[in-house]
Amino acid sequence: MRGKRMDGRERILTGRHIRAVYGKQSLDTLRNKAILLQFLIFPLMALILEYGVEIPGMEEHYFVHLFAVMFLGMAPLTAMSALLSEEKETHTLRMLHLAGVTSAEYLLGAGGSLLTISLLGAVSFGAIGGFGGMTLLRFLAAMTAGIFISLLLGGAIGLTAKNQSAATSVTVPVMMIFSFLPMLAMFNDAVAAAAKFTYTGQIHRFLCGAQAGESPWMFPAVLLGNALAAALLFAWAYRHA
Amino acid sequence: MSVEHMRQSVNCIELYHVEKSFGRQRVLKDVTCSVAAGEIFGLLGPSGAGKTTLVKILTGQLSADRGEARLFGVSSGRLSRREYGRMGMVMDELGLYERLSCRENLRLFARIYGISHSRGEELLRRVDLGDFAGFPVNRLSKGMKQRLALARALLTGPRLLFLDEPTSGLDPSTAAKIHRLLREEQERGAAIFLTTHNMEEAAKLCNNVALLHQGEMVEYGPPGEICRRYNHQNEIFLRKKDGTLLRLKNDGSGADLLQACARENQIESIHSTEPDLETVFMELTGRGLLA
Repeated sequence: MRGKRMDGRERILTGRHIRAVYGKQSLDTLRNKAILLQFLIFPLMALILEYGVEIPGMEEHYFVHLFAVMFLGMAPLTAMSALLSEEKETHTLRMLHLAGVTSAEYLLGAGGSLLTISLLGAVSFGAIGGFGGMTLLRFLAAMTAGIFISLLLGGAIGLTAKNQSAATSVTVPVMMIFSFLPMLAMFNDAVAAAAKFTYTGQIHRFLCGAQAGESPWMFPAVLLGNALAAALLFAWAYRHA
Repeated sequence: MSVEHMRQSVNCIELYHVEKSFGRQRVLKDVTCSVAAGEIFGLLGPSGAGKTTLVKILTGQLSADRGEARLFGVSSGRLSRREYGRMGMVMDELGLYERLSCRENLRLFARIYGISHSRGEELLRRVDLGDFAGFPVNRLSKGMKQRLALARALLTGPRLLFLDEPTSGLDPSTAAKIHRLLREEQERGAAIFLTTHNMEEAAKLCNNVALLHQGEMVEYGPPGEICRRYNHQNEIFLRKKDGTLLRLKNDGSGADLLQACARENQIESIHSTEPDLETVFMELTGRGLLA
């Protein structure tokens, strides 16, 4: 693997740099209360409502599915965007670059750390739902794909934003759309028709088993399409930044 | 190789006719100078003079439109990890991780450079932050943050240090601690590239200074020499113990009188009319350095 250097020439990625950034990011996220709260609040709400609320006719694991999708649409996206914009604003990113850390090494280290924390969140949802075996694997696979897309979107926003407030002003509407659309789709057919084409909408339908009558290719196609769009956006932002 | 020999033979920084424009605005005009190993070089100029642009060109963050900037003999646009590992920086924005502790900040960069964590501990003690190693950076004072940034810059034992206003806004005791550290680094043979508004600091620390005005280097040389060059009056003020103030030409004509006063123990104080760097800058540009 090769990464781009600040002077534009290519050079090999260094594992030591990636590990250093990974460790830094893990510590920093654990101490960033505002970000950490997002990773904790959704599993906590799912836990309380899953075991505390019972509504006749409600589908099984309704709250786990709902909050898991909200979690993947919100927490990784906000965390990645906040992280990048903060590093730019406080000039820590510049110090890392001047110490020889390439952009690719940084993104792998910081993104890898956020992916790990997000996956821990996903595992906790699986535990709250009491999933096991294939159900758990399917759940985690869908969550991983969604978290990855959210990280790409958050990264694109963070890379293009000049500072944290600029990043927040873009992040909030984007995460609202992706995290709340699946819930709103339950109340409105037009919203449901649109939500079908978003990764969060599809993951929610997949988790709830609400794909009756749909092509079996719909789920992977939408996820792939969303991932491709997010990756292109990220690549553009990366070059732009 | 002795420090003195390095001083004479190795230029850590070489600038040849460097020019830079942003749009139609010429930010740097034909800047030429060099900084040798073991030298403290001060770049002086008011805000907007082009100091930061020059540092960014030197560190490979910007490219020059014309001319050449070289670090350790390598063009600044082609710096590799090797050269970056040989330089340390403290910029105006310190770039410290506020939620991490002093120790964790240094450990991060020690891991990046592949050096032992104990080096970080040693430097924390050296900058008098040993007792605060576990403190998160957001609980430190400005002076402590400056010292932590300096410790980070010294992690690799750099041969070249870039320092942007390292003592700006600090109390005299903290500033003195930083000056002491810089002297130690100079004695080790490191070159120090300092940008500052503080004339006293520049005159005290620097072997050479350059006065930058609207992107142009208007004066360059040892601070004492520059001040003597602009000592147009060339006079000495002698205050006697009885309160009398005598004004003598500094050309030998007042030597007898001076000797007589000294013999009779009548001298309260002696001052020369040699200007300070601020006055020289004002004379050259018509404005002050803090303007």
